[in-house]
Amino acid sequence: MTSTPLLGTTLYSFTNEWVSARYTLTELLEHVAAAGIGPGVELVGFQSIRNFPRLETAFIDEFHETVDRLGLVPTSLAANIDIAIRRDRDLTTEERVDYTAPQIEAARLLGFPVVRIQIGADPATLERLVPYAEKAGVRLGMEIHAPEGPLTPKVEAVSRVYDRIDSDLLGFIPDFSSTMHRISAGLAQTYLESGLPADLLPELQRIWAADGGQGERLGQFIALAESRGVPAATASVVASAFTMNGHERPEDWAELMPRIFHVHAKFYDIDENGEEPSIDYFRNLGPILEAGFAGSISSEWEAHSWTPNDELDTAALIRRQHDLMRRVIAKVSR
Amino acid sequence: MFDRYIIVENSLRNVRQGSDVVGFAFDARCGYYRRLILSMVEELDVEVDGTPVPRQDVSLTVGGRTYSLDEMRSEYKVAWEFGEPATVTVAKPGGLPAGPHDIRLAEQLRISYLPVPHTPVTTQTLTVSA
Repeated sequence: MTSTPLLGTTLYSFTNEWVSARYTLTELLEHVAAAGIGPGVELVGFQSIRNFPRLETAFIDEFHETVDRLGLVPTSLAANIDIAIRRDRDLTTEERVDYTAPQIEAARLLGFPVVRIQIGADPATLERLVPYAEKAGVRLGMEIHAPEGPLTPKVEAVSRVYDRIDSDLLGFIPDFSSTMHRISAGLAQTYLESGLPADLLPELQRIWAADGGQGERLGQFIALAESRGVPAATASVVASAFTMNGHERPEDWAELMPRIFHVHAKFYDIDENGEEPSIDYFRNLGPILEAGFAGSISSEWEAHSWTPNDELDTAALIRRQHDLMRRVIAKVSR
Repeated sequence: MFDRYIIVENSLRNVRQGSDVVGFAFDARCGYYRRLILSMVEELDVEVDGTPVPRQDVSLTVGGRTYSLDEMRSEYKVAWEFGEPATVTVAKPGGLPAGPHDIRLAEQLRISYLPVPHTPVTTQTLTVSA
């Protein structure tokens, strides 16, 4: 057992710090380094970089100088394909390639070895992007996020496309939002604050955990709520539980090896025992490590959506989550 | 997602053109986790003290340029950068009386991979100074 993944953080975890302009990019990188939650660092181009994917030389130089000075390691640059830019039609394959190719080039210029792409990258677009990735010397990792999972039909279709294109530049980025065993407690709390009666939460948890598509389970919950006198408009606030939190089988991530070269270690909270209450890290990360994963892992804290700015302690939470991942790594190495 | 932060605190003011007050304005942040091209902003629904503002009276100023909601729909280049407030202006002769007002903003944002527009919404009480 020789897998030694590189731990790190995606700056997306610091979304609230960004929205309130608490840090510049350089200052945030300094914060990550000082907090010891690197050395890997990932960022979302359209979040962290003004005018992305256009990069000024001074920006490129400052980024390199900063990561070198701090001992940080660029791991993954998260790209987006906004196929619905226009109201009248989706972008054509040509337009999707034109939208993504500069983001791949930006990764090269900034020293990121991986570009995160999303399930919206259809087979024709993927195939056209491979030469750009080859030229830039970067790999394209498709993120698998809830409601998709390791073996859901859309992902299996991507695997078949990968088989056909047969390029080792193409792979997957699991996001543990797909493979949770319960709805995040913080997310559930936001439903109560939106007016959902507390006695419906156990029912929500039960229906969420059952079989069926996300729309089907959401419909079941809304019908149940209505039968208890709760309006559908109030009950439908729980839709995000079905889109943000998936319940696919964590062990199945290993089926995607060796095509996994980066991981989004999604988490919401770390409890007093050092565990993620809604995501079993031993079941999620363990099998991938046993299958030989030695890529990079970004901590992706997403409870910022509902955590008030004055209660933020993002770096400390990520440190505790890194401790949890080190425990998983140590157990697998034994 | 970041509903709470889409209206910038203490940003409400009346807008003058010469000696006339022609409307009021406040600053707003893009309510998604990253920047969006303006064409992806479907609507900016504004209510003042419970009364909806007519759509044609609403405009957004980004990087020194002002767009009506219709003009934004075909702006495929300029973006509303994340964390950089833009200005929402409402045309209203005389503006708002000094004092507190409840401002409600709903941003309907067309996100490619979401089935319906992502719609952060918040209501804040902002004060127009005398």
